[in-house]
Amino acid sequence: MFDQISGRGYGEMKGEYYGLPWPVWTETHGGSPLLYNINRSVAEGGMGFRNRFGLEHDGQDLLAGAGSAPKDSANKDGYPEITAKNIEEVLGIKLTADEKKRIGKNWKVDTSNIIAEKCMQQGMAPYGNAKARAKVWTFPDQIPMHREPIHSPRQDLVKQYPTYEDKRDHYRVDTQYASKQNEQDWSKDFPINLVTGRLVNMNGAGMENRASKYLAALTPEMFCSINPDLAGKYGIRDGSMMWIHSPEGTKIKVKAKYSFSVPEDRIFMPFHFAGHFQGEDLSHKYPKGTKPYAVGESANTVTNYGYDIITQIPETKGGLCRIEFA
Amino acid sequence: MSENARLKFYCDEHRCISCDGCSVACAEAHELPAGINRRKVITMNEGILGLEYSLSIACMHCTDAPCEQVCPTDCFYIREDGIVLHDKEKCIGCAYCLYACPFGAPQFPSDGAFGIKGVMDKCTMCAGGPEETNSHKEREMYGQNRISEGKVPVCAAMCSTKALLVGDSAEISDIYRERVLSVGHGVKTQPYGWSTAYGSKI
Repeated sequence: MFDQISGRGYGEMKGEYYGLPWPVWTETHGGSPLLYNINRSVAEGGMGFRNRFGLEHDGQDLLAGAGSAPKDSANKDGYPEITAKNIEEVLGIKLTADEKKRIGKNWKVDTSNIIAEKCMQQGMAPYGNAKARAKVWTFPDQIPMHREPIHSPRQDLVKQYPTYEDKRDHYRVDTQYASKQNEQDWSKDFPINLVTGRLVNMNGAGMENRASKYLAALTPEMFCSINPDLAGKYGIRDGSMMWIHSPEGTKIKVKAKYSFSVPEDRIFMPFHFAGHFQGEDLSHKYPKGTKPYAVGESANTVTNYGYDIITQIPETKGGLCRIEFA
Repeated sequence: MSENARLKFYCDEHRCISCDGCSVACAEAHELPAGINRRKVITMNEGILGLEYSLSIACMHCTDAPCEQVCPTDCFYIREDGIVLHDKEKCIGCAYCLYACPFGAPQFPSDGAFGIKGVMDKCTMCAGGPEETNSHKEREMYGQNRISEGKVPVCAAMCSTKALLVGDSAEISDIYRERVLSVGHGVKTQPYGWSTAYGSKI
């Protein structure tokens, strides 16, 4: 009933898309499978970019350029999002007195759906046809640029690509950036990159998954992926225990797992484990009957200080550490 | 399915992403004890550029099954559709079949005070065993019997990249032949976006 690649319906389902992808503008609309496709009419699932950031910025017109409206559009150029106020002008139509009475303020709150219905007739998208923006003027870096992590293995890159100035009252927390980065050459005492991440069998934080017998069996204990060339320098054998020390003064004891999927300048650890803390088994503290099948050190015990400048998400991929045989 | 169909597994190494969905689905569906891996995902040359690949391995349900030939108690039997099954009540747990099997499919529970080997357990292609079909006893001893209900074995049903195929060997080879022939002809034979993300190895 549906093409497996495009998701377009055929036969009885002609005109529909598999799963009715958002936005489905009206009750008869089949859905819009691609975020941007001006080769199809809006009624058939085509669309331009949403008019989301105003009409103008720094003298630049933010509506789409001439002739770049989706196929079969009554308006061939860019146009703003549709409101009760501008609908007659933008769509080039006249509303009846009854429609004027029932229409909502704009397409987002229009429970009568008159805006969307009228737009479909004109082949136009209710949320407008505007330019996408690559420049985010509300961000400190309006265009993404490289900045070295606070704990960088390369001092030359720290000078070339310094981090942000310290930010006071960042979600009510005074957050360090430059002062922390320049406190010392962290890479002297902590020469190895520390990367943490997800295991595919532990899809979330790991709490539920480690309590599942079959999922826990795939990765029954906490480990650290380490390149044999790096491990060999420290006398760490495949399967032997190792200490990982962080610039925060914390340490964890984990099992070394030889792997060529990490280069010799870094180690990788999964973040799903808990129950041990700095070499000590605290799993007896789980309430009776709730201890998961797999317990181990938490990687976040040694991830380094550092927070995102917009969201304050902690830095878990760009840290440093020191390792030793345990 | 043709009348003289032989049911086979096939795992496409170019599609397997070693998610272990198949092996976990199998263990969960048949409620296997810990340590019994009817199906296992093996990754070769992990992390070595260009040489890494993964495969999902279980009993391959051989036409000329070596396990059946070496079994001293003759506990194996091969169904008309090619599924290799065994009778756990005849099995003595000698592990001779493990010696003979080229795939390491036979599994032996090692419970008990002295860690003794129990009777052999292996992939049934979700077809149960010699007990009465869909009886409680069959469920307990051999796991689900999905074949009798017209369902695909749970591992292949679970495979998110359609790497693991199961069915009439003629149909399986047709699907794989079509995938191979389509390479380089602009036909989508792989999960969407695959060649963009991982190169066009196949």
